[in-house]
Amino acid sequence: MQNDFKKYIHEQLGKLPEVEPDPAFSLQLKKQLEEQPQPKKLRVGAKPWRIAAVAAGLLLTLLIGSLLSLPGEKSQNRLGPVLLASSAGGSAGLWYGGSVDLFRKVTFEVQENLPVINPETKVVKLSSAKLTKQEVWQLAQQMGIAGAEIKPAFNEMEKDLVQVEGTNGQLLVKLNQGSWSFINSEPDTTGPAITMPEAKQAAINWLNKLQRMPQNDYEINIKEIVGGDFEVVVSADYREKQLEIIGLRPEIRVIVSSLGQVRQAEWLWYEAEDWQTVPLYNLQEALQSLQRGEGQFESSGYRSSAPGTARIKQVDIRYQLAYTMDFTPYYIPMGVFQGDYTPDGGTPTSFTAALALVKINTKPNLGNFILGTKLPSAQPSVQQLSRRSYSGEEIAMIARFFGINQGLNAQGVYRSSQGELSVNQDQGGWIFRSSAIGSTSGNKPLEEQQAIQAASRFIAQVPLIPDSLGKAEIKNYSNYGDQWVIYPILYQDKAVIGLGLTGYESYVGVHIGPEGEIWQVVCARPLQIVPETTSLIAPQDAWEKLQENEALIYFNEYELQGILPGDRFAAAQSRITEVNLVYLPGPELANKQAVGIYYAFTGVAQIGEAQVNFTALVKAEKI
Amino acid sequence: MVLSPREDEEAIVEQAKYNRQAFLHLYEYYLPHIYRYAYYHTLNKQDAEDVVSQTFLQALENINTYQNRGIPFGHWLFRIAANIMGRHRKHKQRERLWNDSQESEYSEKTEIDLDLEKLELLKHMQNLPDSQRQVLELRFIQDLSVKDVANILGRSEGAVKQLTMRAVSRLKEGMIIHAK
Repeated sequence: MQNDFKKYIHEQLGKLPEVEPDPAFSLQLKKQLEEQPQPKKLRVGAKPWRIAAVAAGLLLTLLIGSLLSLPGEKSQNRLGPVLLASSAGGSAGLWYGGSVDLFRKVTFEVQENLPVINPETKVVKLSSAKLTKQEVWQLAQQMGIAGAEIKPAFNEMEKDLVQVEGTNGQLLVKLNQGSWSFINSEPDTTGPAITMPEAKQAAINWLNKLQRMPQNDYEINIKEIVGGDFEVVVSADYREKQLEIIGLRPEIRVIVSSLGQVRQAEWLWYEAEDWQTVPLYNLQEALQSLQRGEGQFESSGYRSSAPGTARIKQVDIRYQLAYTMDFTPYYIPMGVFQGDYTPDGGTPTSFTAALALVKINTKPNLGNFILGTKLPSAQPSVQQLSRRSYSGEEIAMIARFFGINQGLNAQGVYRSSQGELSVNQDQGGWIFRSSAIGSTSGNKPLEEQQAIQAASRFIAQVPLIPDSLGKAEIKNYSNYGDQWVIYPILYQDKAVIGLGLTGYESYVGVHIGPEGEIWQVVCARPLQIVPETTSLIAPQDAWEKLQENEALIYFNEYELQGILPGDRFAAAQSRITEVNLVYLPGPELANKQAVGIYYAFTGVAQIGEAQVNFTALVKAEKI
Repeated sequence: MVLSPREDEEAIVEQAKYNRQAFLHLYEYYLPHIYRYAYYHTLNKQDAEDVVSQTFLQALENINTYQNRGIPFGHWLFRIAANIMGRHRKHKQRERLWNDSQESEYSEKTEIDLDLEKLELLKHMQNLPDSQRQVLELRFIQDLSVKDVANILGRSEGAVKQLTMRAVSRLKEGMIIHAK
């Protein structure tokens, strides 16, 4: 079957039509290449920062687990919620799927006698490698980067990422993790070739010179790579200490040229500082956590929101690099569960699940919530929401507004020289993408107020845009000078929040170019109010539930995104500044059914040295 | 379109290190290959042209460092293009809020006529991890051997086979789920 499918893919992809570059483009590029100066020395290219992937991988944090305990208590393991470092399948970008999986409907069973999980074990506290900008500057000097300036890297949202760009090299640094990437853009191109052992020694000497050579628990490997260069890899090795590490681990890579110069390097390293003992879940507690959506679950037979049964046959304890919210690194114990997964009505396939095993604290008010605002007035009920689809005629009207007078093409898209309008059949929304997208670029986006004014003026003219829009918010995700203006669609004055980048599930978005031109307009998941109502608990009851840890804690920041169960969240203090009723689509919405209603307690938590914005969601439905 | 090095390629590459006309010969020879690779990755003419431009400009910038040690020049170009597309994709991911809460817009971006079956397949490929997607593109769209793909991506042949297997399995899963 698998081979048949592979053959099918091969046939389909092998028969894709030929595509030819536009002759005008070919000529233009040829001319450009002709006019380029002959490269005598290497120059800095288009920033091939592998660290961006490494850093982004680290940012792809899976929020799980709290190694808990209340402030003031004497505990060796007051870590708070931890972030698991992950390469997330090699794909960089923001990801929340690794936190609590609200869509998981898997029942976990133990099929065979499993080894008992010890009631406690060690966590390894690692030395912090955080860097200040001053230290980054000094590092750049040690590397010999000349004529350099230090500046934020890529875009302003990545506050912890800075770069030093010089005439002969670049250094990119993630301040809070202390990881960095270096490119030598002017290595010597003459001299005698070196041997592999010499390359290894050159890498070690270079790291020693920078005082960045690991002291303990490492191994070194070297291999020859393209162009006769050598790659020296120093990686964490705790096998002697019986610690098997999974996932992304500290590692240093140094590329040494065939002439003995360091051309590139990536550095992420932590030394073990302290070993602490922490209590662990027993098997039943671990199963409960997996069942409510914590940890990672992978199986080829698994489909989100579809029910099934996972029978565990094997449990192994492994360790994974994790950070507290103030980026203190640790290796923490993970349970790796393996066995068979059978979707209801389907056939068994193998599965692997991984869960942080550090036991949670069950004391009340783990977040130390303080109410810094008034609770809203009690409301007995709210009307429910359902999906709203645009009819063909309505979409045609919107298309005409955007200057598209032709009908649907074979791909279900309205297209003209002005741009494209496409409809999301599944969710009922639409998007217009102008042909002007990307036509201008600049380092600086429009002033926020200007962007909001431009967007508001524009959408006021678009037909059939929902008329109950909330306050505009600016979201800027690139460094091309463009930005998004997002308007939540309100239903009875309540937004439908989402767990993605915008923070909303139902919204109108306008993508604005650096000169104020409209690049894209999106109407995402429009819904409609229906007569059926949901009875609500009182705000005071919701506040009490929050203090009993009966909430979902939601983070939506650039580097920190995901959901924790209330009893996995611990903070020295969490000050609530706003309380609202909001809609939140639950797993049911995947089947185009209900939208849940929640009290949203928004505020700022003090966790270690970090201040973290959060929203605590408490179910508002009276049962 | 089969990717095979020109007979006199090694000599031309050596000349290209100091002779621009020699580099332009290489450009003309490899342009269609790199364009096809970039186009079916981005499914967008403008994006493909950006990738192609960056690939050749970067190749020119670094040609002095290129040495054929089992990596033919064409493979080296593909490797540069693959790296550029990896970065390109990351930028795009951040740019497109649409993906945040909506289905992929992949199908709307094609500028050539593709039947729905191929379109559906390409759409699902977009959801694969970069490494798996690259392997499928190079093996099946560019019709390169396992050995060549391994060479381009700097991986072992075993790893390429494994990535192919995983990609096929994941695609199958995704397409079956979608069909449901």
